[in-house]
Amino acid sequence: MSYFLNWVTITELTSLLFGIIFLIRDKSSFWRILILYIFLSAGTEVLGKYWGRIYHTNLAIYNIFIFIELSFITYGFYNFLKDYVNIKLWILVIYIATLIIYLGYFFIYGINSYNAFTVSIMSVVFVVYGLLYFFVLLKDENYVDLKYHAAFWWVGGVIIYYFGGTIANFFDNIIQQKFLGKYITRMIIYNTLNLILHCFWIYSFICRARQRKICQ
Amino acid sequence: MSIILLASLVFLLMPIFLLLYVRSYNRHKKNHFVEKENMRQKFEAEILKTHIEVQEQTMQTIATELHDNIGQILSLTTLTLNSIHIPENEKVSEKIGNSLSLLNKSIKEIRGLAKILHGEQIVESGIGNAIDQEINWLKRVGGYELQINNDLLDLKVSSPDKDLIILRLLQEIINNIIKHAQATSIQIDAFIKNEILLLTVKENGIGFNYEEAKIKKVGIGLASIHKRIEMIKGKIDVNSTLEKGTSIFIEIPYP
Repeated sequence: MSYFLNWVTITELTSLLFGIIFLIRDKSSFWRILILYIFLSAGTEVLGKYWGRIYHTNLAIYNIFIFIELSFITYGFYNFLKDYVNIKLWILVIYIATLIIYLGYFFIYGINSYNAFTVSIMSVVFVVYGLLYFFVLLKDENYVDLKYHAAFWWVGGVIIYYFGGTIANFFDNIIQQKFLGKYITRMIIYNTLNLILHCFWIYSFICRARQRKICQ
Repeated sequence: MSIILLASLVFLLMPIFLLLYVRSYNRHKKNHFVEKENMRQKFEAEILKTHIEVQEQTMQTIATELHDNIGQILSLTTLTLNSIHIPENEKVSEKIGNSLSLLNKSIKEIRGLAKILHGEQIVESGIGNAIDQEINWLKRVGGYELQINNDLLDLKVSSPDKDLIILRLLQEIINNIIKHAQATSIQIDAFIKNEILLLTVKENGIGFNYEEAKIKKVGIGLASIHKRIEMIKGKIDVNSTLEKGTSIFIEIPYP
């Protein structure tokens, strides 16, 4: 059992627990799907470990998860941006374009090669969406208390995760071979980013539950 | 390798600083928003004050005109009719007598109306008396079974500005009952407790959907009541049931 538990799974399972506590009764489909997404994310991690143990490679599992990640985070940004700008068409076009790149990569290199290229493209797209969200949020005439604004903390976590991971994505081939002491550099970066992402998300769940309570 | 880690750290710190900047900018936005809201409220309060002052001035002018002009003309007519001496024609004498009684009634009504319109003058004798006069007028209108508990008649304290607004509030409520409620019984309770003036008006009319009327801002009566309450930092609670009637509870810090 302990073999399947590492920093990432512990972080994601904690996040899942908080998600179930605070979001299970939420009326918005986005916040309820988020629970499923975190479950799939933790599930991928566990399955990846298991797959790696049996078949000696688990890249196919992570490659499939890239599709789930791309789709859900895109949906998340659409959900928050639609309140401020009419961006549906743009988001759809960019999503389809990234999906073509994602599938094209497998066509050329196969499913057992980690699709770092799509991850890099996806990261840039999400950072742009995040910046756009902050821009429209500040430009909006209505004032919102960001301290308790669930969307702000959700986007904040996402932008830190994807912007912080830019360097790691670009040098993916180099850093997955290198060690810092006994730890792989790639794991140090991603574990830290994953921890920050889920801390921000857990806080956004609390904000969302608080917002729901106030509105009732 | 440490360069990649360092670069990653920089890339990690950049969005954190961005978030801090967004929060700081948002705080400035909040200040601006609060300032704007305060200015808007101040402006609205000024407009409301001016509106009520103009309304009060207009009523006073009408009251003065009624009392000094039309009232005097009617009085003069009475005197003139009284001075006619027709001993032999009984029918003419009877008709003149009827005219005189009608004129006297008109003068009395005009004086009563002028008194009600001239709010400032009524509240000079205290809010209790002002409410009493309003109730007397309601009694004269007739058609209602009245239950009155006015404990404000012996009130030692007064607040002329608030008194006038309270009186206008009561007048507005009574007008609304007469115009819309189709009630047969009205209960008015006025008393003071722990420096809070409590005014309750209950009637057994057709009732209305208060929440809907509040949202839709139907008519100016309800809006005017709310604005006046807001001006004197009071509270209002309206309970209305269709076909059963309406109860209005007003709390005003007093004096």
